[in-house]
Amino acid sequence: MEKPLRILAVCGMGVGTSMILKTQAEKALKALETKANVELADISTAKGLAIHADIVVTSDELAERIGEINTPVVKVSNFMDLEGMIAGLRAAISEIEN
Amino acid sequence: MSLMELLPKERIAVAVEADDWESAVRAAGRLLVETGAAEERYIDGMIATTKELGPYIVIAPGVAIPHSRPEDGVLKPSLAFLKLTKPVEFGHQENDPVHLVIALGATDHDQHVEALGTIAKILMDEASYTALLSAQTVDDVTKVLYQT
Repeated sequence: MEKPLRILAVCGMGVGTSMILKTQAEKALKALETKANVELADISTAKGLAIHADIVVTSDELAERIGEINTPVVKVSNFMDLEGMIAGLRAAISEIEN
Repeated sequence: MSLMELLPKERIAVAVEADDWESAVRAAGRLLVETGAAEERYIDGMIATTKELGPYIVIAPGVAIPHSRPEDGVLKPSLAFLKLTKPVEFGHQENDPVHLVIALGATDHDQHVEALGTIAKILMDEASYTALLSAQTVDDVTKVLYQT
């Protein structure tokens, strides 16, 4: 059994938008049949927490504010676009594996 | 908490006139304040936060979810929904203009999980999304939002 991936959902304050990101990411991970734990972070703590994450999921608008990190970032523009989330996560997962 | 608990009819408004994103956010915040869900200063908090962090709160085409920090004056977990008569620009690259403003008053992560999940499900369903955009009365909105 592989270890579940650690995914960080980042939004401005960690109370609203990241919650939706988390829900969508979990749906996408289920579709991808990938085991993962999705945690929440706000923009101010994201950079530090990203070090311990395998993948970061955030909005297009906030991605650049996180700063330089080595973790693959999935950028989401339309949070309701589940297909886009699936494609983004699939790409990030293959990036980690290689 | 369920969507109906967080977003009762008193916090839903349709045919709201707003000239710009700021007055749209104020109108949504007003619904939170008038129903005792947030202090007056929470409205300014939402405006300041949106200015500070940018238009990322426009989470889908036509839909913005302004919110601020719990300590900025949230009195109870709550949502407010408004549909604008004419859409406004928030400055988002892809999701502008905004027709639906859903203000969020959170006291922590957890109370909104179920309700935001329900909203996401509704917005992803094209028929429901279209029905919200064409809603003329509060009942038109609740018919869609309270369906599950």
